[in-house]
Amino acid sequence: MKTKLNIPLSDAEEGMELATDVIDAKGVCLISAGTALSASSISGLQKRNIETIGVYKFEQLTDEQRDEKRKAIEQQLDHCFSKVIDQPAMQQLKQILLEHKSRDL
Amino acid sequence: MISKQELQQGINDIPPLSPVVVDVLDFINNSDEIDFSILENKIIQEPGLTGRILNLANSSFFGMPGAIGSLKDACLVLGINAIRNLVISSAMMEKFPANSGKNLDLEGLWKHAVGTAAAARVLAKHVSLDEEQAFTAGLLHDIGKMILDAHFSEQYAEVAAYQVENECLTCEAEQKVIGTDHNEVGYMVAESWNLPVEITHSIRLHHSPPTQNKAEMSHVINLADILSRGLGIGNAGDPFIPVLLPEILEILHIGFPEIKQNLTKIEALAENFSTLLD
Repeated sequence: MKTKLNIPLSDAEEGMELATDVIDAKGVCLISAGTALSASSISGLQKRNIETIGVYKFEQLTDEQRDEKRKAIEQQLDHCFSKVIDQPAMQQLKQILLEHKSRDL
Repeated sequence: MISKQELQQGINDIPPLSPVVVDVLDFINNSDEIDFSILENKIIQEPGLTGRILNLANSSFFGMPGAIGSLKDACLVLGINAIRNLVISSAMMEKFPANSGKNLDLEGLWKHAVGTAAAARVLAKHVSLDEEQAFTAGLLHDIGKMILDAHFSEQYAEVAAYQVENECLTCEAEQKVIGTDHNEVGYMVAESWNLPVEITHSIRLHHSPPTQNKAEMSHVINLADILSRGLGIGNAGDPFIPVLLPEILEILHIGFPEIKQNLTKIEALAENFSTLLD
């Protein structure tokens, strides 16, 4: 499973994938989300006094954990769609949202 | 219930946009050819506005991350329509700061607005409507909730209580308790601030866009609001998704497979932008 995590820059490692743009105090984007960190990009961020970054964390789930997470997503969507679920278009929308939200489990 | 007179009076009492913002918008609206030096001199009088415009201009929303160092660069690179939208967005973020909610989780509502703006931008591209305008319209679509919360806060506390007790959409609670809703109030105030007509209309019609016309901004915002809620970005004020009419998908020439393909992009855009709300 892929989750977003904010970490101090001192914990950054080569190869980690950025989950959010790294933006400096002036609002300038230094590195875009989706980029994999390299040794030189980490040292560049240190020079610019960046303290925390958002990265993706990959975690292997057991089948049981995966079922549990999927169930929680389904329950949240059931509640969200509870007023409109009799409409066919809303059932389709709910289905694509469910597939989207559980894609990285 | 708020009577029509009370509502109008309350709206008349809402402070206008800052003189600098009014002057800048008037200048843009009434000039055939814009002198960027004059525009820069006008905007620069309000440092908070200047900073926010540069932050927004440098965000990945505008496709030029980090490249814009001055207001003049922003004008030259982004063009005057984008600057107008940046001025409007910045002014609204200044007016309703995320920590100023009385009954509303305003931080959550701004995040929902950002999600809607992100989705609106993606959908506008699909139907060849102005992407920056869609972004601004998405950001401002729920401005009526912010206005009601700030300027009719006692009545809005009752709206919030009714919504929780009856587990209904915010619009329904607003109609029951105060006899109008955030769409109408947002529209009235946005009109009084002379915001562009595409934005004021989409504020008014985002829950009830016309079902026979060709694609316009209110259709984009209707679907964008629904997607932002469905993705769980921020807090729209209630946990329920409003109904999506199949006609809207036809008008926007978009189907569920295309929507699905764009969900990751919408989330990434929203995530990047929400760091600029602070």
